[in-house]
Amino acid sequence: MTRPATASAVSQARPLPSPKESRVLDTDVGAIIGALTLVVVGLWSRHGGVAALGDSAAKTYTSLAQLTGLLCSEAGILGLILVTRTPLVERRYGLDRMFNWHRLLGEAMAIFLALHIAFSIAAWAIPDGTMNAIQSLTGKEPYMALTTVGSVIVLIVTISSLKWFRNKLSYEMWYFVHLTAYFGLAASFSHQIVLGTDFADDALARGFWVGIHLALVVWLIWSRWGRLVVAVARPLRVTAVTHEAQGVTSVVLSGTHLRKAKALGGQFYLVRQMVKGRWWQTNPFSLSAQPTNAGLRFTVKSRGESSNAFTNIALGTRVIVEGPYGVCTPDVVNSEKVLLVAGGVGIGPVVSFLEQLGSEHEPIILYRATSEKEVAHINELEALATARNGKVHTLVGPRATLKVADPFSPEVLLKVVPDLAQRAVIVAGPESMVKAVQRGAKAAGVPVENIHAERAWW
Amino acid sequence: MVNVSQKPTLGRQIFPAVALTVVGVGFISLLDNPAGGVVSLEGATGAVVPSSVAANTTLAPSPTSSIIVPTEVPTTLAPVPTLAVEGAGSCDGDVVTGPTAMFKWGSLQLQATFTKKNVLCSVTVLNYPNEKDKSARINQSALPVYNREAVEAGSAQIAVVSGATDSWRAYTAGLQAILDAHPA
Repeated sequence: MTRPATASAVSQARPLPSPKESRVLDTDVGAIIGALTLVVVGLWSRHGGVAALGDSAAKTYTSLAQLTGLLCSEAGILGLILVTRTPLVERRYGLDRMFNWHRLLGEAMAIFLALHIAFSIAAWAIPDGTMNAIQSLTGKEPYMALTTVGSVIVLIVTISSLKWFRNKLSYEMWYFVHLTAYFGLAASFSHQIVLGTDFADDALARGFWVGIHLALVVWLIWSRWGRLVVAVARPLRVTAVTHEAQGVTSVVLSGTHLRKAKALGGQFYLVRQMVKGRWWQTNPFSLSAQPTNAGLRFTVKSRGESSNAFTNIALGTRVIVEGPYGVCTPDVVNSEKVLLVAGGVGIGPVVSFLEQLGSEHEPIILYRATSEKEVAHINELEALATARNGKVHTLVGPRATLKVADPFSPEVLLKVVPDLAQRAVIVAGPESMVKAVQRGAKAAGVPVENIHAERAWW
Repeated sequence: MVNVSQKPTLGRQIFPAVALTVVGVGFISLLDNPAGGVVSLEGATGAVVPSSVAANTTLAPSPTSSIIVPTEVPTTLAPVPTLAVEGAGSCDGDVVTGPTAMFKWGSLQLQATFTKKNVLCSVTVLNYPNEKDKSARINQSALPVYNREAVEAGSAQIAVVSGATDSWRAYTAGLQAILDAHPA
């Protein structure tokens, strides 16, 4: 489906204001993680955890089971804080990094859980024998049957999210398995309060532990699911679908709700197409034009069922967007000149970023595409660059046909951009290209804090 | 949002860490500390029953350590182990009833029997916290261990059983009161 964009709507558009900045610092995040760890380990130690370590084998195992159990919970708590997608963290680090940390915390949680189970069985096996210990810990003791189910769910969720496994599962399968993690965590909670000594015997510790979990549940509902409810209440509609290049389509979403929206070029939204069979699923799509009250434009490459459906979406379809997310925005640039590097569909965020830059940045754009047919927004790009005292360089063709082995080696980069070291570098594109540019720019003398990367979200 | 032009002050960077550490340490220090729990002893150590009387009232011919099970407790309680303590001699000395040790989970009271040579010979638990299932379960498994260890050690210097630290505290305090009142 190919339709021209409604130019009239765009011409009267007023750019959306910037989202509020986060005041959170790296040191704040460190302080919170450090304090939580301090309290968890201190609680364990205060209840005799350290003293028990040198004691009999049973006591040592019990103590280690308690410590690993507590650390497992801590990883879970931190992982769930990331699920809230709180702007405090998101506006500072970006959703992609939050997803990454969530995954790492999930893996840490699974390791602590495995250790916790192993130490618990070892501790109970000393007086009772292994089989009796397993029986007690999977059903006989209060709440342990529920906890066993919860632990199995948590382990399945973690395993299903390992890269190797994740690639073998369909998104639907993985998503619904992942949703059961909420139940798994809830099911495991009761045994923490009833069994063991850390919380069962100490009212203050129990109050703290229950309180922190209740607060987390409230925060999750408020922030994660509340945000979804708000997004559902403010749907947008597809107002333009334009074929841009082979397999590349731009879609404009508009609606009255945009009047109150805030967003910046370079950001992305989680887009939910309200179409039969797709409404439960979101895709991250990057803005490919400065976001305005007239509309949000996304440039999407069709490369999966879902993005394919989006490139063929009918005009007028209801679309729910959550966001904006992402921290690779013009705010990262101070007064220095700018080099923008786009790879493939990474051109989208680069265009929207460029549109919000002033001419003092004299932007140079490197646009890498594997084929002439896949080059999108090139006229727009050149017009924007020219208006800002900038230049566009394109590098088109499959890698094997290029004259240089690595188009982003420091030598090549410096030849094209002699003042590279004085520039801020913005990269959007496939993972491998982002890495190559980061490496090359660093070697060419660009300080690491001046290199900003954003994954190409379609 | 990374904005190099607004570099936060050192104070702003350090303050949250310091504040949260202080709060965390303060919280931990308020938590229950098994090594420093409070046991209050109520009631005087009972009169020393002379050995001649004790010999008449002690029915058990061999050294026995038993838990007296209150009537309201279900009959599924663990059987009381009988202890034979080698080398302790026969329990035909004084019988001393200790004070009631009040602690977090209730009260614990001990009665000790000595040999003629004033060596601790057996310990009987007169009452212990059993209102909650969990308390009853913990004490039924730990108290016989404490009884045995006390008789073996001949003193209140006994090791704690994991999970029964509070009972250990009350037990050692109660037993020490008996030993203090009955010098060897």
